[in-house]
Amino acid sequence: MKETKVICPVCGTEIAIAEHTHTVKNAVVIGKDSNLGTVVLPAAKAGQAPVTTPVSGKVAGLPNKAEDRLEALKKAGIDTANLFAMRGASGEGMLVRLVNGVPQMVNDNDPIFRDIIAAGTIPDRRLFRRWVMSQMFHMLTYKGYRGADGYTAALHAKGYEYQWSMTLEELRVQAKLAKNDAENFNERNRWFDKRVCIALIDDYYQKLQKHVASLKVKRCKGVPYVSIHHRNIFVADLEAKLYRPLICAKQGVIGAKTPDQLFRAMSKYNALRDTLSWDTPQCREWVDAFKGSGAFFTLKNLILFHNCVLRDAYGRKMSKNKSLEFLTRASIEYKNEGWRLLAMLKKAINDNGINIEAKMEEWSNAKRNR
Amino acid sequence: MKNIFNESIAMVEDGARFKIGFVDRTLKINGKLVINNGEFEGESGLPAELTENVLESIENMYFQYKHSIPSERSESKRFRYFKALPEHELEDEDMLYGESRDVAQIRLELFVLLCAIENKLVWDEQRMGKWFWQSTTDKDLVILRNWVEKN
Repeated sequence: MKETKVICPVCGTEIAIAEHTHTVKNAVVIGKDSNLGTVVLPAAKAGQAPVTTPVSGKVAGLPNKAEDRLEALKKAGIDTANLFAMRGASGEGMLVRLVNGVPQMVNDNDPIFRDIIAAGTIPDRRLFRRWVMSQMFHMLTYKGYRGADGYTAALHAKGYEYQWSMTLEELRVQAKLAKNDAENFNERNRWFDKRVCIALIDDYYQKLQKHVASLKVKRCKGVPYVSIHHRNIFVADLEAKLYRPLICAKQGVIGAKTPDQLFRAMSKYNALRDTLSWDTPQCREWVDAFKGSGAFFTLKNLILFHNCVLRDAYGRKMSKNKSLEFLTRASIEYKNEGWRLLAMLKKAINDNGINIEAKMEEWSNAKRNR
Repeated sequence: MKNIFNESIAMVEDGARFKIGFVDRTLKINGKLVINNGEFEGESGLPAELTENVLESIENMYFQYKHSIPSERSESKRFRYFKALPEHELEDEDMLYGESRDVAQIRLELFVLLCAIENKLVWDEQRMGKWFWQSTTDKDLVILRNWVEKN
């Protein structure tokens, strides 16, 4: 009779099984005497949960060597400053994390690994909000054909409706982040939250009233009416047909308790409202939030990946970590004054000797003379 | 237009939509035909320094275009003559300091079109091949013969 062996498909480790085959409830437990020969466990398929063996608790699909795991984590953009690859007396490698100076083993079921496997993708932290940074750099060097240059002119050039489309997209992303990425959600929600949404709605309402007041009043059989976006509304019906639905929809925004509800309520409001002309001034609170958010994420990206640091109140350069702390503190303090953060960004760009226009020229020449 | 090349690029920088047809030799900006069947009013405005070595200029412009920053609008175009890099293949430097893809696209396509109309770009079968020309510096840059020669 052949002795039965069960082998891990990844590392080849023999898995301990019972001496004798027996039945437990509706399942058969295979033993060494089950005459099956060597059995290799099936590897986890894509989309399935990883196979966890009862003995070592190792998760299939992870690199075997501790050094390889550390390298994989580094590539995934995870901060590995307090992680170490160690080799035990038996020669087996392990990952160790320092917690308050005490080394602790990082398990295969650690959230750090579990999150990567659960998400199904390895986050590329180097791409962290680089669109925001790119947009900010281009807006800072904007040259308008109407004579106005600079960031504010670039923001105005985006037009009135941009603030609605941008806010809705931001709220949609926030609703998703709120479920599985609290840290990023908080960073984004600091700028675009319910307060800004309500300010945007109030601002729109005032501008709509002003717009309606400026419309030419026409008459139909002597009854006055106005024409708004190809909709003819009697002046007497303006309250019922134009304003009241908006006021009701605003209540939905005020009553939203979760990011998801807020996104839905704002989408509903946006679907009800009529668009305003391109050159209508944007909402002041939204402009502030946009400046703050753009400057915050640009600064964070510059500090994390472009070797930029901030200066403290005495003009001394701070370290990378201190700069990040300083930035987080400032973003909380200037939550409702985003323009202050924009000033901080301009100062940081200056302090770190970045000349955006010169860099653009350099890029252009480098591409030309590749 | 007094200077089609420069004014068209400036209009696209300010958000104008455009469409270029190499085969029928047309340029439409915001739905209006600026060049129709190779004919236009005003001057082409092709920079003289760029037309000394046309293929080299096209290669340079193509590199700018290939590494330019895409936008939702530029990516939603149904048809493009030249291939550009998708966002995830762009380097950080490209994202920060590169130019808008729409602007880089009109510069490249309009340059090819105006050079073809003004006979600055003439098909040399010995040098450029029978049906298409492929750049030796970047294999992604291909120009078809029927874009240059009028049928």
